[in-house]
Amino acid sequence: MSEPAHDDPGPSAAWRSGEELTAWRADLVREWARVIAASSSVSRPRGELEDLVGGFVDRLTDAMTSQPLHIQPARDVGADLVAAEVVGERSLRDSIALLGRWLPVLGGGSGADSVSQRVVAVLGELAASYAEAMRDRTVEIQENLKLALVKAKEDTERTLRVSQARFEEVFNSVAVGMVISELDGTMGRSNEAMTEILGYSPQEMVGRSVHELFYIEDLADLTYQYAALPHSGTGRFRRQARLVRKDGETAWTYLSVSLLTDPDGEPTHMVTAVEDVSDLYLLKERFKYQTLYDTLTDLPNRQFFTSRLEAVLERPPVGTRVLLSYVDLEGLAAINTALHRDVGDYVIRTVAGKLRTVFSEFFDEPDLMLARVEGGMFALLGRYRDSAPDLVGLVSSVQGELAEPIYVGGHGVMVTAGIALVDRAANEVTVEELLAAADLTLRRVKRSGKAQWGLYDPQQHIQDLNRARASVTLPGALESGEFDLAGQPLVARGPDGENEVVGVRFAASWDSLEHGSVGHDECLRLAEEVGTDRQLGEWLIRRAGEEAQRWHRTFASAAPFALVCLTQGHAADQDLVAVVRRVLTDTGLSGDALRVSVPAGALRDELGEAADNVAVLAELGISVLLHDFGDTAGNIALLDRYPIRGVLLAESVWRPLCSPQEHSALVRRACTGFVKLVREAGAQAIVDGADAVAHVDRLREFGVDVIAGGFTPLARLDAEIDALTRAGRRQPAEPGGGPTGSA
Amino acid sequence: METWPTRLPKGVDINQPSAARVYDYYLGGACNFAADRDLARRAAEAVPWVRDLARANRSFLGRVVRFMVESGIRQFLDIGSGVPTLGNVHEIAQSVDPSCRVVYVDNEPVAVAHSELLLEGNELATVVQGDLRDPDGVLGDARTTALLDFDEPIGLLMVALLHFLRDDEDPAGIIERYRRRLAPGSFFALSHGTADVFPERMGELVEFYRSSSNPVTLRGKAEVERLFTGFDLVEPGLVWTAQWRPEFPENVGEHPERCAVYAGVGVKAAGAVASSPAESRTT
Repeated sequence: MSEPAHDDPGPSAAWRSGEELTAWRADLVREWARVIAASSSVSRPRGELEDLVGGFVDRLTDAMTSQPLHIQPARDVGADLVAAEVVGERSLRDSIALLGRWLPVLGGGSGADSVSQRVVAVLGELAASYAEAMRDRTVEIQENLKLALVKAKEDTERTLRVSQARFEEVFNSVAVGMVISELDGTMGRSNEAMTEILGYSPQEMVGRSVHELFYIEDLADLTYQYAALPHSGTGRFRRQARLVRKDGETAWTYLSVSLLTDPDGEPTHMVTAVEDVSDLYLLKERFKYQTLYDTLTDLPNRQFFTSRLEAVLERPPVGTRVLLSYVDLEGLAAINTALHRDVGDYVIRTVAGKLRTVFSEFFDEPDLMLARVEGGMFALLGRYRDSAPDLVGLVSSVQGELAEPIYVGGHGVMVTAGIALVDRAANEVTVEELLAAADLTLRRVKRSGKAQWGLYDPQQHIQDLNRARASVTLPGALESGEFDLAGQPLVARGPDGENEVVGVRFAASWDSLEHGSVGHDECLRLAEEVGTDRQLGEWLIRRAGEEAQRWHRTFASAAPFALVCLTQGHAADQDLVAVVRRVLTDTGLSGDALRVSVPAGALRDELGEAADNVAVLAELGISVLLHDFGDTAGNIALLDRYPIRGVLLAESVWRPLCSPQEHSALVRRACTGFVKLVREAGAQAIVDGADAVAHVDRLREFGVDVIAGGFTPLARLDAEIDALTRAGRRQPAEPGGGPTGSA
Repeated sequence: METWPTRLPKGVDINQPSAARVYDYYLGGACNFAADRDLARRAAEAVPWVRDLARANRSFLGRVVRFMVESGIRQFLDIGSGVPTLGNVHEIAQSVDPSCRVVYVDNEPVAVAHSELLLEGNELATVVQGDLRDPDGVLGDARTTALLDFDEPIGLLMVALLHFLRDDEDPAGIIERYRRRLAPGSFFALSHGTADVFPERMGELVEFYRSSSNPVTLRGKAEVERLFTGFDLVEPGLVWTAQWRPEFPENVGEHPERCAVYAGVGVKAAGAVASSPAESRTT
């Protein structure tokens, strides 16, 4: 295929035919295009790139084969490579390596101008012009880059100039006073409107601190807000504020303060816009005063206090703590009743003055607010940052002041106070939480007696809160049927010597979604707290009556009686008799089938409502029992005074009978004698205690008639009654084994 | 007046490396500063073939634009266009059809100024200084609306861009806001760095970029595919950059994954329903 050349060694001699040259060219073009594509980011379609490369190859072929050497085409190829953006870091190297292998076959040159010299000359020119073009290109790009930088800067500045011009226009023409200040408050420019509001000329404003404009009472607040502004998320705040005019007068204004930032968002300045609302203010003021202040003491009232509290807790500066204290006066009602309401008012005014004096020793004026929130209740709001006030000192100062009698109209009167204190980080608590914490702490304090004080305790708070929630939701729960009945069978030995269930004491149980299962005693306590124990008791009486009615239909005269134990409050309720009568009428039961038990303690006062109720109930033929009986020896006298059907012995009485070895002979004798006295007075002695059933034999020896077992849910009550009765019948010798049953 | 800032915005700070200028350096450009070159060199120590990576990506852009023009697209929105390096979208598109319109978007003032210089006199291409994360700002810019007709299909390009968005910036949500504005038949192209391969080296790369104006979040293949939600991927799907419709298949080599960048193009389906009943019958 190849045609040998004269003397010339190497492949070149073989490439003389046109066909072969065409094939060589095609191969080189394809290969070079591939190298260029791989080494640069040129993204021409393959055909287009190969056309371009074909042109390069032709020009290089011209240079290789020109006689004499004409190098210009090689120079052009170098420059065109750059123009075609073949500028990858390997593009030139890989191209030259490729061409170095391919070009020699073209031969070229003659004599001294050998093929290899010709190749070196051609590729050398190509490389040199490539480098030159690259340098020009870089310089050109750098020039553009510089222009771009300058342009970017100019664009930025032009934007600034435009917005500055707009700002100037607004700044000077607006009716709102405006001043621009440094972050530290040093004022710079201000406008004409500002001069009208404050009386300072723009020149006089420059260099002064914005703080100089603040009215003394707003100073602390405003200083905080200005200092916090650069760190706040919003970059602005708005509020009403009093400013001091050049002539010393107060200007009532509406402030809108916002942060100016540089293009990177860094705060640089603040703009304060001031709207003069003095006229409006004076009009509103009178009205506002009356709605915000308590007329008796001139102290802020609850509304004002709450809104101040909101303001203090809204975006407080870091590290701010608040102390909320309730001071609730005790003994005012007695003073009002025994002396005169005017005396009570005087006491309140005097105490207000004393409290103001005490508190101002612990807090600076701007950080302090004392309010009369209701009747005899004062609230203190104190704010502090670094040093915590001495709380114990504060309480004892208050108590010390109150311990001094107040002399009025010839009387020296004295009040005490329950004091609750809540000390919290301002950013960790909401207004509602803080008020609830103070409320519950005060309630806890009041539970423990008079003249007590207490500090908010988070753990205690949760308990108190749950308790408070439970007690306030209890009436609703009663209404919506969350309450259930439980019964406690009362077992006695029948005439034939066998156990029998003579009665059932009914109790409430609350299966609360939120608070879980709440037992009878706890239900009563919660109900007493919110004063719904009466409703709970009435519900019990009615439900107990319905159950008793059902038994009555089944067992007739052998039916057990139903017993409901009342709270002290309910025992003294005026409607009690009516309620019991209504239930008896509705159910057709006799007064013996539905019995009520009154706490023995409720009858201590012979003239009380409870005593009346018991007397009337007894007259109506309704069996009345007493419970918690025997806590005081005087209880026995009650049996003499009222027709009492039976008593539920206090635990202090029956416990020593169950475990005599743990009690002295004296106590045993006293208890034994006590039960005997009860029996002699004609009342049934009932022991009510789940663990008492184990001692049933012993208790019976001492004369106890009836033993109560554990509570059983209503659904299982009939079966339980049945089991207890029959267990006794089967095993008359071991009555104690029965009542434990399934309890 | 002394109360006015005189400092330049962040993007003009030539002492902080910028991803766009580092990219330019990789491609053999000269629009870069010492800080950019320094970052580029350090990155090359972690991933020695990082220039190939940049090149593969740029060449993908070229192929994509041509593919789109051949598919009938005549208007382009190139977001994150960066420093006008080599083979810019309008050059490629207008070389095929001079009537093609291109809007470049970048948030870097220098890149924008540079693009403005480059585009002077070209009525059919413009640049908007805007932020990818602000679709309303980008799409509502007067220059965008003057050049692009949103009733006609558009080629939306986010090449080597989305890995500069953090997850909490919600890339998928941002894309969706652009997608909603596109007419059916529009194309969406992206390329996205990954640590699915060479996790350690790519991790180092991420570290280098942490100091720049543009920190990097690499994503796995499935995550990148999710960015095409609402688009149908065209052949060959989401692949390594070099594998996407290469002009020189022989240059792809045995290790296309070396570039560590996924690339793909999706089309917004003509109908409202993504998969038509006809399609499901054929499968």
